Amino acid sequence: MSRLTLFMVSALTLPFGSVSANDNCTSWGNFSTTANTQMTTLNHPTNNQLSISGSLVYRPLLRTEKAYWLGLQLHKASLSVDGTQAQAAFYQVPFAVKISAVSGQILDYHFAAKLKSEDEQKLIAIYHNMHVEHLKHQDLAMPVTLEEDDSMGRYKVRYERVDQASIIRQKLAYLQTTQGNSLFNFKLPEVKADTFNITQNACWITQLQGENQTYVESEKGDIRINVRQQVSYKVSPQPLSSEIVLLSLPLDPKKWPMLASNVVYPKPAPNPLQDAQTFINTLTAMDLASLDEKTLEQLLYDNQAYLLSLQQAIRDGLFTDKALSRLFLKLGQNDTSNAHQLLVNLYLDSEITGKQRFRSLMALKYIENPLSEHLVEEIFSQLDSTELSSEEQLLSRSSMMVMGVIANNQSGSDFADKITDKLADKLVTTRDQQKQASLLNALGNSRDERHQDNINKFMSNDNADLRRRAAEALGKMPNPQSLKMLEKRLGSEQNNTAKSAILDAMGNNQLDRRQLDTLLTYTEKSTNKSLRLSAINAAAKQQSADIDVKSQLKPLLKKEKDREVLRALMQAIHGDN
Amino acid sequence: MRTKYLALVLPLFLTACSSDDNSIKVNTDDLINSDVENVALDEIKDPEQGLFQPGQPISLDFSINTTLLETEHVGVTFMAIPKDKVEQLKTHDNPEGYNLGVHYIAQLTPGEQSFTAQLMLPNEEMPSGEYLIAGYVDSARSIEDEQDLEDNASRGHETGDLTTYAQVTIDSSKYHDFVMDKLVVGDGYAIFPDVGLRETTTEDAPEHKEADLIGHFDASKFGSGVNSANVSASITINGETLPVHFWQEGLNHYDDKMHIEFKDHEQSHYFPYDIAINGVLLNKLHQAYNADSDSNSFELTMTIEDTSEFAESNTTNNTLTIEVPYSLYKNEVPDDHPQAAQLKEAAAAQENQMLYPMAARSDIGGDDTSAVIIKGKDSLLIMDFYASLYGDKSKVAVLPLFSSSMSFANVNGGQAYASAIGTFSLFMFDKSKNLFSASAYGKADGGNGTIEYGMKASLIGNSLFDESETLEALNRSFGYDWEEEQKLFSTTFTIVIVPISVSAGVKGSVGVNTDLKYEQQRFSIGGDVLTASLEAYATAGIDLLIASGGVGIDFLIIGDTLSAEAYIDISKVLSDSELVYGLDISNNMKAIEGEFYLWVKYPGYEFCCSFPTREATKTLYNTGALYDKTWELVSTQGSLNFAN
Repeated sequence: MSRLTLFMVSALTLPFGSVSANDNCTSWGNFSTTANTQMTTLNHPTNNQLSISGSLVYRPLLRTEKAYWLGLQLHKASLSVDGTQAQAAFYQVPFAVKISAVSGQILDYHFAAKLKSEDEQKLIAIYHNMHVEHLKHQDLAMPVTLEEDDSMGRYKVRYERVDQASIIRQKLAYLQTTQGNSLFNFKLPEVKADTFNITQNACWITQLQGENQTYVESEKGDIRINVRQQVSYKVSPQPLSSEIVLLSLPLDPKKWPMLASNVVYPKPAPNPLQDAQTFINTLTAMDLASLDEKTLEQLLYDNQAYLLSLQQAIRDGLFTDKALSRLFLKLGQNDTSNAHQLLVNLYLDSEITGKQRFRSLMALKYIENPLSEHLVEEIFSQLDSTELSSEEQLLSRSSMMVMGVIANNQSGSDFADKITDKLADKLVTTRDQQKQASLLNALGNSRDERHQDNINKFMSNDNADLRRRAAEALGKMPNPQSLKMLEKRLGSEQNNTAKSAILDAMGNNQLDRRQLDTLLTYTEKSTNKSLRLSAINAAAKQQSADIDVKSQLKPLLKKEKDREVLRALMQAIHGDN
Repeated sequence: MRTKYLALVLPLFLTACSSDDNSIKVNTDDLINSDVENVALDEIKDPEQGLFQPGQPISLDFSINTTLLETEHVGVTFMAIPKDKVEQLKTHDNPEGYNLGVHYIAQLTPGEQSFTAQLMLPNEEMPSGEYLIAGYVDSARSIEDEQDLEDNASRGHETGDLTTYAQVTIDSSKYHDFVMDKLVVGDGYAIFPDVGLRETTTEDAPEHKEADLIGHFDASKFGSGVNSANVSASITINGETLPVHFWQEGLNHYDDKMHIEFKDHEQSHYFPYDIAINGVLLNKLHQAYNADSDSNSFELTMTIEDTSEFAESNTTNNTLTIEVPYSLYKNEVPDDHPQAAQLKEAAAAQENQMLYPMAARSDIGGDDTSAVIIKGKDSLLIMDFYASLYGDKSKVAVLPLFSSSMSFANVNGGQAYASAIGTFSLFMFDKSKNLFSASAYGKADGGNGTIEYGMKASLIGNSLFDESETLEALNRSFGYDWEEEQKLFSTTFTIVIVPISVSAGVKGSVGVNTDLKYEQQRFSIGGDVLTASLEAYATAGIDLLIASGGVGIDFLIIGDTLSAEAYIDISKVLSDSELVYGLDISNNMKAIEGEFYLWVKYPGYEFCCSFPTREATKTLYNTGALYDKTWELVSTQGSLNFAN
């Protein structure tokens, strides 16, 4: 058993007891794929080969009337690049796919670890090959051609039933590319070949075999990528291994514990210097402001055991201001428990200047691992301390906003939920309006919709500044409920700053015709300038295929004279030209 | 400086020519038979045109002969080398030749195949003389276990057989051609001051320092002899064409032409411009403006002018004209201003009286800004706003927006207000983010002796501090700066399972350094409301723990300090009916400097040797910092005496 698997098993099985693969449809099989990639940049050809293999585990999960979840894990995944084994533990992370019970379409994905977005896409790509749920809603008595989407765009695909258990899937051609790949600015991808034979049983796929060849070229032809690959999966008759993490997870993916980042992205053991003093001496001898980024990161990583000794060195003024500016950022990115401890210590250290204490807060924004409970407690208690200077009060309020940012960066985790629960709890229990103001900002930073009801309570507060902040916070979590809250307050709001914030916040949502018409009434010349400005900016975001905002804004050009508002109007009308 | 994507993990090929791995196999006739997998360069034809200049495109017909191979993805590299040095191709790992580029063959087919390679002579100094162009088939060694590598290359010059070489003559005289490829105005439109806000009589270069039009053009040049030119521009409105004026980097004023230089022998360049219009042209724009129309526009024409002593080969491609929609602003008293009624009254009394620039000039000694100053009998309003898009939104651009104001009304013991706001929005690959914003304001109430202040900063939509309070005395300093490194845009798409990742972001420092004071009824805001020095980065490529190539960016997107010094002394409002005030807002900005490029790292095999990690780049977007500029948004001081 690999070290990683052992770790995963030990990390995940304990809270959930023994393996519970009693669902009849749970299965596993051998999955393998090999892709040969030919990339030509500036006419220079390069070839690479990527192979991924492992035991692909399938497990039906939570089912509701409207949707159901399927769990997947590439157990004992192995990756090789150009024939050389490569580490890619994230391929083994269990993930779940939410399927619409009505259409069989994919609604959502959930991962048992905080993965980099690019790595999430790699797991999604594996499932996308195996997605057959929507076919349960198709009559395949005759061959059908459907339109489907993947990360590259919309394409036509043909399905043909071969016999009761088997179908042939053929991707025919791309119809459009996905927006957002503009860095490469690709032409329409070309499907040169794509045929897959899929055999199913009553539960899922029992066998999949096929190959694909796709050609992608940048608009100017500078980059050309030709990928040819085979994918195969065959269900295994062997009993499921008890080591499979997916089998021990709760049926509801949203209740899955998250794997620690050092499990998913393991790093080599640190190689520290002799002692803390040597570490400090080494650091102070370097020009940290201009030191190569990777060298500084490695030095801090190797000497994470000595990081706490930096507090005294900073107190003693051993670093220049520029060096400290860099050092704080890298400590935040270091993200080890000692770095967390050091940054919190520095934030609370009254012997250090406010500027450096503020920098320690800014560095904490970068952490992606949970802070330990006692550090969270220390940060929150500082807000309630009664003996703070005016600058320390500012720092304590900023610290709440930073906690909001951290929660957003780790959203979906238990830790993030605990943080936002704490922020919301403080918001409703404190009577101090300055604290309430900062906590509204903090919850806005967290983007945690679970607390929008608490935020909404401040939309009718007597204090216009709190109403403004509540509107800004709701604007950071656009959804139908928060939009309703904003819309409800819009008509009765009397303070222009707060009203302007409501209009701005509404603009972050996709508005319907009626809501847009309401918004446009605030663009009239008779309205206050800040409201016109917010309404025009919000309306400009609504441009879509079925709503022509430009033609509605154009007549305003005849009347508008204010430079700032005029600019917003011209931007909305001509900005994309 | 240039940051590369992931570390390249490729087999380590030996570079030395003497390495055993790279020794060229002996080519004997008995090895060449139809049973051996092989590809051979058969012929490179001499181009019809025998005379070329550096920087000129060249197309070459060549043929290869393939035996038992159907290899895909094959590169053929070409090099021009002086005829008397052609031997170096076999003996030197750095021969004194010139890379012409690579021709890509999608797939080899057995038998003879003919191709035409579109290549480019390097845009650099090449001594005049006789050259041979040699080729090498399979520059990335896509063919496994090829039996004979010697016939992949041009060969036979020792015996006078030049079948596999093309012969050309290089003439390094001053051939050159400039091409204006693309002309863009910032966001696609222009806004000018309406009648009465700025003078409309000057005919020469305007004196003001604030830009009227920010934008860029893309231009190419061919030929290595001439690397600089001038650019002129004009606006055509109602059939009349008048010149516009360019900011002169380093000279601190506007003038007729913009001097451009094509650096680094690249063929394609991006040039930012900063244009101001004079009074006469502004007047024409006023006259042509139809306030009842949904749309007004003018034509902007830009021309590259050859200033060399040599004739440019083609001058018909030096000019581009675009249509630019425009509108006219006329700042009014904000209707939600606490003293709107009094200020509006003052503004109405001064309507069309050339309040500006006369009032401003008398205060600030001749410099012209776009600030609006409304001085009433017992009220005052000064405000200014600036926003322009710098860069190309489809690649990298930044939109700085600055707004400042000061006001006073002699009501209830005097009420004064001052504010300064700065924000930066970043555009990368047509997506936008609010990058950083900071603001400060103060509202002093002379009647009850209180001050309300506010100070805010946010980064990428996250509040970092947001302070506001009402006090009787205020002495607060906000002096914070720190480093940031944020990935702002990222996308991964997969070709079945092969991931292609694209990400872009910013790194650098941001900060605020502002003092707010209210003591003895004197209120002041001073310092740097906002500072930022941020670079952009972007990477793209196959994300397989290897990187073969992709797109890269190294850019300073913004280096900016928005400084504000504002004071309003209302201590004598009640006793002497006098108010003393001052407002200086200046901005130092350096924007959009750097490079956007395609790059590739590849194992190269050429002639004698192999190269483990050769690198090629193609600059798509390269600019010096034309926008390195300091200007005053507003600078004024004075007093109001209500007793008069």
